[in-house]
Amino acid sequence: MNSQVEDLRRENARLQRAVGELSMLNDLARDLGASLDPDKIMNKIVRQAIKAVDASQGVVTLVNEAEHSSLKTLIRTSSASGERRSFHLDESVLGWMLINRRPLLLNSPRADDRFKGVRWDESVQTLLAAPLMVKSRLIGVLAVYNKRQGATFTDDDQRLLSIIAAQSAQIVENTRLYEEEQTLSRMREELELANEIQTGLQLKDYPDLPGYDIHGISEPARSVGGDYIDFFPIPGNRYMLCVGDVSGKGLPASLLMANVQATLRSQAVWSASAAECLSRANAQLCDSVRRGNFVTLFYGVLDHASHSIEFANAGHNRPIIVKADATTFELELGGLVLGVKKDFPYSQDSVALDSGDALCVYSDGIPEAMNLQRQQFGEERLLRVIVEHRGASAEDLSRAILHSVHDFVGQAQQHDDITLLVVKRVA
Amino acid sequence: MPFTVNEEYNAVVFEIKGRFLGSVDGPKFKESLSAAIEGGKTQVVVDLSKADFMDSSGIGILIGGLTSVRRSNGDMRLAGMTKRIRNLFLITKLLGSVFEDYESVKAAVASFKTNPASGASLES
Repeated sequence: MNSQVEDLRRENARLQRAVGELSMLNDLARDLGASLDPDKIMNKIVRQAIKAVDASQGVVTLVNEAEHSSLKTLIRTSSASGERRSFHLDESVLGWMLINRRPLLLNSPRADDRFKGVRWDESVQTLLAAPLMVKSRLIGVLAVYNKRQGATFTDDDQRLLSIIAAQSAQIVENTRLYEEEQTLSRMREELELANEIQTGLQLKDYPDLPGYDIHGISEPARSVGGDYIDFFPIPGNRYMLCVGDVSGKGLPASLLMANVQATLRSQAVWSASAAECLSRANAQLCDSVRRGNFVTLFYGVLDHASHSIEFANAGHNRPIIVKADATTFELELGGLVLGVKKDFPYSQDSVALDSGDALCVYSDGIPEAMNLQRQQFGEERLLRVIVEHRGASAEDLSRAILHSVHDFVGQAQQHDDITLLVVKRVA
Repeated sequence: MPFTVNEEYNAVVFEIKGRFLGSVDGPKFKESLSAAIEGGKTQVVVDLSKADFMDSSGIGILIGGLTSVRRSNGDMRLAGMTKRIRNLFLITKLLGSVFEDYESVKAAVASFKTNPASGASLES
């Protein structure tokens, strides 16, 4: 009779415990489903785990599967430790979990042969850990420490913690994916902004200049790059023309480019010569450009009354002039890139344009365009296309060059922006 | 890793191999260079003999590095440039006006004896 009562009592206690567990798991599921905030979710999991197994502290450690070394895997821990210092899951324990992928119960961690070398925090008495698995991948570890009242963790505790871990894993993974998605979308926004800035700066219309045919093309690479093209009227019935390349990519490059355009347009108005303009722009940029950034730039001033171009070059590829009789030459005068050395003395040269001459100013994205065999398009190919299409309009010549580069590159991914400005004297 | 750091005589040698891209390799390079400067090693040689490509931000990293070592009264000298990289430095006119180059690491290291770093700032 007594033993029957005892059995009933035990059964009753087991059922009560089961009901408690179920209601706890139900709470957990409900709470976790309600939030996508990773910190809140981790905290909730840790708090529930602590409560469920009557532990003093808990921590969730996420591992990054891309990096297999356990040293680098700790990306976030969340602990609910009240006043006490929170623990970090020991690397040896994390390593053991990475290999074994099953719950770990350590009621006397210091006596355990598997963790002999570990220097346990002195307040760690007992430890229970369960893997967070998603589709047989370990994404993290849920660990609790120090069963209350100096007790030890039981098999029931282990079972319960495993259930909590199993329930939480997919949700933790979801928040991580959500976070990644957020980061990606921020990056997309930044790129769009950079694109907008760049598009706003790009030349849309070319002036209808009597006797001249002018066309520019700028084709950004995969991400927003830093090529720059401008054609702008300045006093004295002249036009400044520029092709530049700003170091770096993305938003910083776009902002630097905006800075360069503003600087040049303002200096062009105030400068008596091309060299003076570059010197002034360089001094100004040296003050405002972040260390390690620089700008290559070809700067020319077209005087369409005298049919001459005065130019200075800050480290940019040498432009090519093709004449009607198919001879070509480069504008050789060079100079230091902008934004590096304040007192660099720029010099200038000038070139006369005869009827039929075309000036091609391009960015290094053209000669350096690479095909799948890792060969470069090169300057010789460029020259051949320019010569072949010298009779075409500025727009057709630009397109011919672009097509030729595309044909050459084939399926290879474009590494750099392609920018080209053609100024052709037609009469 | 695209570069390794050695010490020869009294200079730190950064050997750059393969493709040197500012966005990829820059942070690590900066970090190693800062560590060298903090350790009082401001005579820096960059060995480019095994580098076959460098983008504009890669060059930017070297310019930034040069500025840093000059601020600490040191210098950064380039060695063993391949034709392609040399062309890049010639077109941008960085060679001569900003960087000095030497045929070999040995020559660059030795140059610090015959022609000590003046500590001239780029920013003046």
